[in-house]
Amino acid sequence: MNTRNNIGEFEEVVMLTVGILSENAYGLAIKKEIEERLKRKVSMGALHTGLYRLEDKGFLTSRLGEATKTRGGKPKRYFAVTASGQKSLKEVMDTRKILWDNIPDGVFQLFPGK
Amino acid sequence: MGQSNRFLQGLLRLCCPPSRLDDVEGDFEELFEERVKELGKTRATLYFIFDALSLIPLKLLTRQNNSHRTNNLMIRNYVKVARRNLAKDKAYAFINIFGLAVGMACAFVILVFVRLELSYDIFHEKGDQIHRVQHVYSVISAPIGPKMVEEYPGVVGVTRLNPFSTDIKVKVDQDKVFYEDFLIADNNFFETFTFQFIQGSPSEALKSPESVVITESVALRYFGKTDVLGEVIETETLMKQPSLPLKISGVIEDVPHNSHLQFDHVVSFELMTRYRDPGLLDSWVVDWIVTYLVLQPGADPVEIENDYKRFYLAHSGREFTDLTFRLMPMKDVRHHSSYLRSDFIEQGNINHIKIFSAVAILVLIIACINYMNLATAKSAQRAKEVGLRKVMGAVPKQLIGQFMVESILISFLALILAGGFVMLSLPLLQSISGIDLRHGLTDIGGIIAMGVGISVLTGILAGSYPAVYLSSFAAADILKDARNNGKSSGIIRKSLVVLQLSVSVSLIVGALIVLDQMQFVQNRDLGFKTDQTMVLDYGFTPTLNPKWDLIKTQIMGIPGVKEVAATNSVPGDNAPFWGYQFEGDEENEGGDGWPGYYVGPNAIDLLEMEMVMGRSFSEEIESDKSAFLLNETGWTEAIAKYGDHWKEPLGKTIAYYVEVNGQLTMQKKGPVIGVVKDFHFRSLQNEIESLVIHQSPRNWRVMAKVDAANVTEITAAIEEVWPQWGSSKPFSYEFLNQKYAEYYASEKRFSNILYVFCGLAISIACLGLFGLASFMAQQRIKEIGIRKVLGASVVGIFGMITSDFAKLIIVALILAFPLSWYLGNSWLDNFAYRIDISWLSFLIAALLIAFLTLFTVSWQALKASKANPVDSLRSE
Repeated sequence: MNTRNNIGEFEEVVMLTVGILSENAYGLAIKKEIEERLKRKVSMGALHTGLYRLEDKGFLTSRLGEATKTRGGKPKRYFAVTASGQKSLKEVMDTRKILWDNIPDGVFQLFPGK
Repeated sequence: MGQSNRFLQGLLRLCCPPSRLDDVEGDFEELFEERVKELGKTRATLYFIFDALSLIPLKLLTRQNNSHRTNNLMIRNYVKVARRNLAKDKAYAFINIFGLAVGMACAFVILVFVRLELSYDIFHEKGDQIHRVQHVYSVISAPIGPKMVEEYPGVVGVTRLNPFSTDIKVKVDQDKVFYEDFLIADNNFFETFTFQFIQGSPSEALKSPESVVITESVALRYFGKTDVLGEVIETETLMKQPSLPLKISGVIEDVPHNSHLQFDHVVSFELMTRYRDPGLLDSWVVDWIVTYLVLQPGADPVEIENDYKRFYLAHSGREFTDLTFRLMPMKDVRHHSSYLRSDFIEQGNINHIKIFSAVAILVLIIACINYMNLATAKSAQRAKEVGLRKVMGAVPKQLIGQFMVESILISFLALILAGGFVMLSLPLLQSISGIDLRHGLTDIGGIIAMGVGISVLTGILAGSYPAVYLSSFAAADILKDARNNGKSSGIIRKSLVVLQLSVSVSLIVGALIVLDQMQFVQNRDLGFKTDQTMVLDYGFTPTLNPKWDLIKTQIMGIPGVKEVAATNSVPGDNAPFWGYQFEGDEENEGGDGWPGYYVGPNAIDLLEMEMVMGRSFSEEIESDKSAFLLNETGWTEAIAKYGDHWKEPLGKTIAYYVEVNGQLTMQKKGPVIGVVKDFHFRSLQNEIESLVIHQSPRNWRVMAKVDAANVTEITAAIEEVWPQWGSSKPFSYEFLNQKYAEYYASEKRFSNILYVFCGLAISIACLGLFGLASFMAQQRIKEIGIRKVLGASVVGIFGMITSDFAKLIIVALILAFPLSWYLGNSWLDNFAYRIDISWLSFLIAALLIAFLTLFTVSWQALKASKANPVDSLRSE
């Protein structure tokens, strides 16, 4: 399997969050969104490393925004999920779905009554 | 830039790949600002550092350049080799790291101190515009400030204050009683100066006269909470009122430690005009108020200073005769006002800051020289490694890099140790220096930056020469003859030792000069006796005079009390200027301004002052109440100023004028009955000045000469009878010699710190010499062996090794003496009464350094000369 087209769990979370934030997906906003929704800590380093890798793989694109007066006058870098990124996300979801669907009834006790 | 400081930004730049720096910096800045609000600056800084460090993997990931990768590999190798070298020779490692650590700890402590001092008064928003008006005192007459606002377009605001309402009795809820100091200020005080309000507003707080602004900790002390707006406290004796209720109209955060204005209660001048002499605020004659002007940005204070003579004459109708008039910028007030005759603030001394900085750098240099010397001396052992690295293709640049990495690594190890030293020594430093450095240690980012800065600097400074020296070895020479023992570095190494020794000698001489002068100051005959003289503070309102007979009988009844006197001034006090009209000067209405002391009748005798002529006051003679004494200097000045008839001063009259409701009014006129021998009524930093002494109808102090052995019993006995005397103040006392010692407190602190650094510098230098001597002995071990085989005596070999060092000492002494003589003299110029530098200081310093050096070296020399030559020669 080609590792370059494989995405890890964290990368998946990052890409999905970029999707959620759509127009407003820049570094700090992504970090906060993940921390809030998933209740887990994300270090700046891990996040920016993830973003860099995903861009390198072609799953994300980025553009620099306007410089602002806040943030010490520094611009924000906005991210968007590319077509191939979206395809990969869908693949991941589909793979999972196939696996889920093949679990025999009664093995998992998550949905009592089913 | 945003809120984060330069250190944090620098760290981020180090950790973040340049391609992403811009937007990542923005993210960090935004997050930091939020965290500062939520968690406070300290924790926000820590999180910032962790986050920045977490970016390092990204930086490594984005690195495409292969040479960088090799470099990283090599750095790992350098670190490994350095570690092995340290582990191989533990004594060497200890001397190096320990010496550097002590040097760095010194530099660090001084840097913290200097930063702390320089941070004074920088927090006011209008700080650049505010200037304090100063002539010979920190106080001037009240109308000057407002008049300047009217007259000069460059002066846009004025705030005046008076900090002398001390020990005011405050009652909270009837049963809680406190004694507090009050600052009286114009009601725009909080608009001019920036202090943070918790309750109330800066512009409204002092608007109504019967209101008071207190600090957070006072609020907690009074009420146990800060939510106290509208509560009422009752004061006694404030504005000379028996009882005056004040409403709390504002609570501010405690005044920052780095503010020269220190206060915890502020009331408005309107309270004063309402309850006390309203004319005081209009008087041009009485100097009693501290004035701060707010200048327009860009306005030139010098123009106003130069115009002052005209200004003062035009408005007050009097000549301005003082020597100086200055508008002192807010941030310089603490450090540049030592020329004032008196000041209500605690002053700093810019010269001390400069000297300390210089000493810290010197100590650090001594430690660095140790490292250089030991590293080059040890070069023989590293030569093979250098040769091999060169053969394998290392270029000099890489070798220099290697040795720099090594020295920086060692200096970081030293930094850790230095951190420990600083922590351990803080309480000790505080006790010898009286300086609380903890305030300087609150800014974690800054501290880390300083620590890292110092160690990198030390590493580079110490590592530069060994790196260049070691990397210059020619590979072929080294590998052909492994016993290249680094002799070519001899001259430079010797000069470094000389430099080290001369710095040590200069410090010793300096410390001895300081020690001499401090002893001189403490032992000098002041012209009166300070020992065993207790001074009790009775308070000005009510005055003690009506109760004097009772007080006197009761105190004299206590066993161990030898003498007692009421007084107003005691030596060491500031002498206020009033008008004295001397005989023969009657045209001069109101007389000239002379410094005066007000004393009780027998105070002069109690202090055992000597009379040059005539007699001192007597309690029995009623007319002495309007009689005067002069000191010798005053007598001389009177002759020069008012004519030769003053050559016979006894019986000549003086009239005494003070201001009442804006008019100079004669209080009394009487004869001079005696001339007192000059005594130091101010500290020895100042020349003795003219002084008029007379009796005051309102005394507020009691002086008692007591038996030193019974002090505890005596104070207990006085405390018992104190309530019967009707004083408005709680019982408190001080001894006159303590009060005098306070004058030299800052010089004393300075000398204590100097001694410590001097000791440290010398011990580091000795440590280095010890290491150096042991290497030299080791290198010459075969030579010594052969000499011994051929018949050299132990004494001869001992002499051979020590004489090398003796020569260095002599050169060092020649260099150090003129330098330390010059520096010592410039410090002594601070004192009006000073010692001449004694040749003994130089002799002691020379003997001390010679003894220490030879003692250090001789241990190695002895070991080498006593060794059995068979052991050293057998090995090949």
